[in-house]
Amino acid sequence: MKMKTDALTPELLSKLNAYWRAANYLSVGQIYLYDNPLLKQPLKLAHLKPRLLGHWGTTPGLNFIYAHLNRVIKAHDLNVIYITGPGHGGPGLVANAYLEGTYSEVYPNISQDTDGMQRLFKQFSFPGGIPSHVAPETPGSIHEGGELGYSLSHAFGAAFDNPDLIVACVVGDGEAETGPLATGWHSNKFLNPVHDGAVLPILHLNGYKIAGPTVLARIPHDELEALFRGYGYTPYFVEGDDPDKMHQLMAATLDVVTADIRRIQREARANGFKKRPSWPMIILRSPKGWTGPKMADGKKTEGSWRSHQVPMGDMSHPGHVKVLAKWLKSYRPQELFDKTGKLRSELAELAPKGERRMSANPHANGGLLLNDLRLPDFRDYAVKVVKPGGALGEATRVQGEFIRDVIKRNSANFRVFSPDETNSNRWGAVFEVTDRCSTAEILPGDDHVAPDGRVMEVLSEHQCEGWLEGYLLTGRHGFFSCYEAFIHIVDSMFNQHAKWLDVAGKIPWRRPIASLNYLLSSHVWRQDHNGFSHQDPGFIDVVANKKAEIVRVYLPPDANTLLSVTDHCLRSRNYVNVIVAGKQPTPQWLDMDAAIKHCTAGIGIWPWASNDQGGEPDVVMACCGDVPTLETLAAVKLLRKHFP
Amino acid sequence: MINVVDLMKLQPQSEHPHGLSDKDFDTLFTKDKPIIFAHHGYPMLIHRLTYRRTNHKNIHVRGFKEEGTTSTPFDMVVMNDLDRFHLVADVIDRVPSLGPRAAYAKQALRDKLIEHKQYIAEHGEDMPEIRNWKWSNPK
Ligand SMILES: Cc1ncc(C[n+]2csc(CCOP(=O)(O)OP(=O)(O)O)c2C)c(N)n1
Ligand SMILES: [Mg+2]
Repeated sequence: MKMKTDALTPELLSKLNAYWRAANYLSVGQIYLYDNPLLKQPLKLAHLKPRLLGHWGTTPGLNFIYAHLNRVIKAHDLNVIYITGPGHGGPGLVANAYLEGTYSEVYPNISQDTDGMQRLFKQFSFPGGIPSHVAPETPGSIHEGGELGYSLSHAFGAAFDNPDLIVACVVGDGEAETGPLATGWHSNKFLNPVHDGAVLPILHLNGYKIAGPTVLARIPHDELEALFRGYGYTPYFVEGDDPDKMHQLMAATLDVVTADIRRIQREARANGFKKRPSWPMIILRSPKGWTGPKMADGKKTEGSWRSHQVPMGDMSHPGHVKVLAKWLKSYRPQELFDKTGKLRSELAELAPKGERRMSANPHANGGLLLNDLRLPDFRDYAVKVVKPGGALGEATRVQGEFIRDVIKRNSANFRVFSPDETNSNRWGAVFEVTDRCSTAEILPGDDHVAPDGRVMEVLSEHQCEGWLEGYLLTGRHGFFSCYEAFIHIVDSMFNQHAKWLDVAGKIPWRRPIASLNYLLSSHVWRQDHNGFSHQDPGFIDVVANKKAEIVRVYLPPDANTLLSVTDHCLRSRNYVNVIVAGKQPTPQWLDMDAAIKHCTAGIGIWPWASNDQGGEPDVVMACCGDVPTLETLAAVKLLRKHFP
Repeated sequence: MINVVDLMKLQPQSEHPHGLSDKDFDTLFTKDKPIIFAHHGYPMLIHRLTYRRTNHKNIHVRGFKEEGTTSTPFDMVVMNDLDRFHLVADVIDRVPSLGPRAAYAKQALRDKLIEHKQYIAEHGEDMPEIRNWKWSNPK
């Protein structure tokens, strides 16, 4: 498709470029400057930070995309959040939040004037300041992008059940080499344009990672295009390094892409879901470290891996301060900021207003939008237990009936995520009210598969985890049902989410979000049929490392205790709740009243299995988990037989 | 007999908001009696969580010690010494007051475990007394 070359009037082109320059200026300032923020004095070594920490390479590209998204948001009144896979481009996102005023609203000390700019620069990657990545501290972020690979899964998770939302998602070309990201492209087979929003993937093909070239930058153009067509997208290429040409091309492309998205949604919403659309995506091929120093120390820097972090890391080196001064001045800050240090009003106008600003979009502070679940009374699902051991039950099957009704009552803000284990973990009851979600081809023999299913099954624990995180971070609720052994696959993603919750919990303007709930079933003691590869109870060891304020681990011994714990978890906020429970028919110990009391206490004596009433026991038998509980009770019975 | 639903109860109150106070912990677990702890996961986790408790030195944890294969459900616990017979043997080893009956009981337990291995090797499923085991309270 031939793109227009005049999407922007000369005036808008020049303003848009100025806005980009401003964001780039502020980004470089954050990385290098301790003082002299607007270069009112000749730049000296003393104006620089003693330690230079940050990432320049990805940042100008992120800023370029941001400025262009601002334009289409304003032009078409779009509701957009911005996810940056290469979250190490933190300075860019902070710069943009500052330019559009959000930053000073949430951090009044970082004001839109010269002093505020100095503090903005100083605080970046500085003790007592802010981290280098797009961390929870960054307004507009739901994705830190520290551990690479999860941008697309987070983006799709955010888009599910958010019909009005467009999630612009920058994918690093290095990030694209990770397993989770590679699978993430397939999320389009689960996105339903009738009731979900849109994800606009933007592959940031800047050619390099930290020190080497990227795979996708070194395959022929036709292979690259075929790859993304094969994933089911319509790729649009925006390639080059001449800013003016690139601005025109990007603007024209975003107009086309926006129209595509709207057309797809309009058709699906008018006529119902007919077939999986080919969603647009953008492949942005631009130099790494674009607009930075062409050379440093005689070595190519712009357009090279050398610009990944801080070009010219050692500023005491003769000539480096001069190169930096020239670089900063190339953005012509005096044309961008007025005498007081504020962004000039004709440029500030380019940013969207209020909650349309990507940095102030409430979807990126999901707690603001969070509604309580409408929960059925879990006691209604109780297994009748007249006396301990007097009934048989399958704990997770009973829990599945409860979950079924949670789905029924919360048809737009609760989903279940599982790597193809919903049935196997005995949550089959959910299929009485919903289906497995798929917008790909569905064949007559398929079992409960439909484009509007609420059960998100994909055989990628990474995808399940990432989708659920994105869904939770944008203010909804969910459950991840997984085999106990294979939840280890997302150990590291769990880590990252727990860190996010920990930090976010201490930021006053971030509102609490729903907890991340895991059901781990098909556990170690009942994987006798699958064998050693499927036997591993170690996820809870990983979880126990995390901050106490964040993690909860429950091992209910039977169905009624499982129901009580599940209800509790679905009401909780800002936690990671891990529930380990069996799915096999086993004796049930507690009636519902006793179960509620036991779960509320979390630990307790089972008097009917004890014989120390009134005196000190000779031995304490303790147990945790359904199978150990059964074995312990059997041991107690044997002890009574042998030692009456 | 103590059952733990919320694992974080075991941690000191100073470390986890759910943690039991030392006083409550001592009341439940005593200050000096042996504790046989049958755990779902790796035994070290229980030690990690309880290492500061008064009676930690008497906690003996059974759990998954990386013994696994395709076998019967009961054999899984047997392989990891988490089964009822091992648990009773653990009690006998730690409670001296059980007296002369202990030797007979231990032998009976050992025989049961041998019987179990022979039975599953022949039949491919657990012994009926395991499969059909039921809790009953003494009258
Ligand atoms: C999972 C993971 N592995 C390794 C790293 C270390 N790392 C940080 S940035 C980076 C290169 C990223 O390259 P790319 O995605 O192309 O980003 P960009 O070029 O836009 O900076 C690497 C390997 C990481 N952050 N996460
Ligand atoms: Mg790259």
